[in-house]
Amino acid sequence: MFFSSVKEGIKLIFSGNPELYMIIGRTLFVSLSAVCIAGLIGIPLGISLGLREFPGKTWVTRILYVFMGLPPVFVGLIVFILLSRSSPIGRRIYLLFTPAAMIIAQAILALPIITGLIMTAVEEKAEPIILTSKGLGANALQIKLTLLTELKISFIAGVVAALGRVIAEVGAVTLVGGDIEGYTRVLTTAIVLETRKGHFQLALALGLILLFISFLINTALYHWQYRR
Amino acid sequence: MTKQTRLLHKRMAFSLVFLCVFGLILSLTLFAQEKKEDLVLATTTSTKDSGLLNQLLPIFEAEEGIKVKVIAVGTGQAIKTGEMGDCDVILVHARAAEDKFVDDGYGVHRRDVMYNDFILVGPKEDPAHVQGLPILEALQVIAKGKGIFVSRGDDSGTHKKELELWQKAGIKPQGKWYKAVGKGMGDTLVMTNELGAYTLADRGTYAAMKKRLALVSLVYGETALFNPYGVIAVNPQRHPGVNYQGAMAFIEFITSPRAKKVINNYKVNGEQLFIAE
Amino acid sequence: MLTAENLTQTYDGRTVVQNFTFEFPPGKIYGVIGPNGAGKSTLLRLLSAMEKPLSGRVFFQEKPLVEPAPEICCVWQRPYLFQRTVAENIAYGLSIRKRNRQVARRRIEELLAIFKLQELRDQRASKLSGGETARVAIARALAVQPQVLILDEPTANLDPGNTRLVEKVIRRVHQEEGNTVIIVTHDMFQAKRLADITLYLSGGRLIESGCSRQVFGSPFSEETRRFINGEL
Ligand SMILES: Nc1ncnc2c1ncn2[C@@H]1O[C@H](COP(=O)(O)OP(=O)(O)OP(=O)(O)O)[C@@H](O)[C@H]1O
Ligand SMILES: [Mg+2]
Repeated sequence: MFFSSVKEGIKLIFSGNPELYMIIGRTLFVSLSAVCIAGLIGIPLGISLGLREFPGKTWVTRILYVFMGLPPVFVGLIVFILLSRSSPIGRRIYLLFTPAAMIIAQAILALPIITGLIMTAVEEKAEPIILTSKGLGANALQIKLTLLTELKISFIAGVVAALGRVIAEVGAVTLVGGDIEGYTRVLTTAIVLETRKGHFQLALALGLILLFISFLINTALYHWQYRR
Repeated sequence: MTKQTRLLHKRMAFSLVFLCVFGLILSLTLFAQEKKEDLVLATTTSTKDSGLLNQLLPIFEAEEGIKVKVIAVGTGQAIKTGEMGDCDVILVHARAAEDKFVDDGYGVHRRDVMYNDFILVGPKEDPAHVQGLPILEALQVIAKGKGIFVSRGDDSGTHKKELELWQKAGIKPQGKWYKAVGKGMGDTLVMTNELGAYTLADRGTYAAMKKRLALVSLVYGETALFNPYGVIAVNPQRHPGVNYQGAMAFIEFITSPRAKKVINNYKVNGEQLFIAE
Repeated sequence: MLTAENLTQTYDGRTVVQNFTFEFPPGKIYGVIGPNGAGKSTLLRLLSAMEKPLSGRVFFQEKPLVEPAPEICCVWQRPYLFQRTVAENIAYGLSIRKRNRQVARRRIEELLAIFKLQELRDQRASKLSGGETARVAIARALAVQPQVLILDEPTANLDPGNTRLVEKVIRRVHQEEGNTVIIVTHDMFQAKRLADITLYLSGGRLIESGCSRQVFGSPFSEETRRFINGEL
């Protein structure tokens, strides 16, 4: 069963099935956008949390760690209720069952992961970096840039971890996206659908494609971080 | 920091910002693409998975020029989605809940669409000799301990139907002969097969799995075993944003003679799944 | 001129530097000695405005020093090298000061030669030995020719030959540029060899200071004498 699925997966990739490519493209688009948005907020947030000491920081940290493990369905449900036509937001701008809703839900899932991992990395490693660049006459902006380059690997690791989580997540995207064929279906929801229909082999093949994509993204980022 | 690293920084920041802007724009365009005419149909997974909608919807979309987005979820969730105004029309099979949905003012214009039927399946040998009996009698015989009954026990539509039948038969389903497994239809059928037991199944799932099972259908075709599907438009007075016109067009279509013909002609493994009168 | 006025620092209620007052007239080498935990490294961080003292002030060129000044460069006790090559590390101070690239490259080559690091020019910093790391850190600080050079045990990780080399470089640069050097060391001979003025710090307090010859020859304080002789 497994090996025939591998074969099926490879065949599927090269089958030229446009719907499959759409699904792959949509999966990448939704998860990458979500991680980008979460990164834009989470990286600066993580850095400043990591550098600053303030009362109640242990609580913030603890809550952040709990939120790193937020159940996707739970986030999906909250986003669903917030975006529903019966909510104040939904009455103004209606995003439910669109890719935008999926991006929002996944960004919420990714945000604490990126923030938390970056905060930890900064707490652990930033001090000698700051002391050294200050000691060589760097100004505030230059210190920040140095910090960014020095901790690049940690930051990439945080972003990759978040991407890995959201791209493999199904609970939130099914709820707020609705798994609409040709519109909000992504790899994970397609896997659930095919499993439910009893097409285990196809589901397995789709799962392998998902793994392969994750692998490619990881490899690409890994290469990029060592590019000189 | 050399010029190269500075360049790299710039490029990094640039590509990040670019990706984000690109993401926002694309999602907004995708969002904008959702024209008013699109119709959101919330239905049960079993309906969707049977493949019938793939036959019906293209005809409707071609005739009316309305794109239908299907949200396939559990019965309860489909009705809830309608209550919250997040779909335009629902197609479900849960008569009591449907009536409540209409009575509470969430839905309007309920119409019967079709029905599928439940069947009592069991081993070929039929140890309790229930073949051909009326369903209630058949259940009473099994309850006397002449056989094992596997129940889905997952609060699904099928499970609810089963409980309703037990109640009508005047039996409290409990004891060694009654096994509630808390599983989907497919898994329940597999377990029933292993145990050489009886269970209540929907014809669609049974038809799809028949080849792999040593189970035969023993009792079927009674009104008590029918499972009617209803279509209901979401009340536009409650949720002004819904596509009411589209919903009405859909109801019109799915209850029309041409749709009925498609429904009655739809077969899986040679078995007719739905009957539209 | 660098001046410290009543500097006091505490960590978690523990006083680490207490009422440190001293004037560092420019153009001299100052040696700071004292037992482990005396507060020497902390004092260096206060003098370079890396951290705020609990009380007291530092003046640099007649102005209060509240932010680190680009004219003051430091080499810390545990030097951190950026995750780049040796040459890029040495270039750091020059590139943030936007120095002319030609000039910078010549300066880097010069320093690589001085510290015998030419072969390691393109080596990644994380692969260096302890002594190599220390030399790169010193070269990196010297690259920008700061007015004040602060060194925290720069030769602690170096073999005798390289220790001598670093001392020679420090002295030569000092003579050429007339900079102020403040160096913490546990090597009494080094302090004697290098420093014009020696400060003995103990328990966060400045116990004794003066001309090196005098501090090492006939210290005022009995504690200083015992510390220098290793009897403490
Ligand atoms: N950031 C800090 N937080 C808390 N305590 C600190 C901190 N930095 C230094 N200390 C404490 O302050 C005291 C002085 O430390 P400092 O590093 O200045 O000593 P030192 O004279 O440089 O010693 P050594 O010769 O071992 O390098 C020590 O007891 C140390 O534990
Ligand atoms: Mg020290």
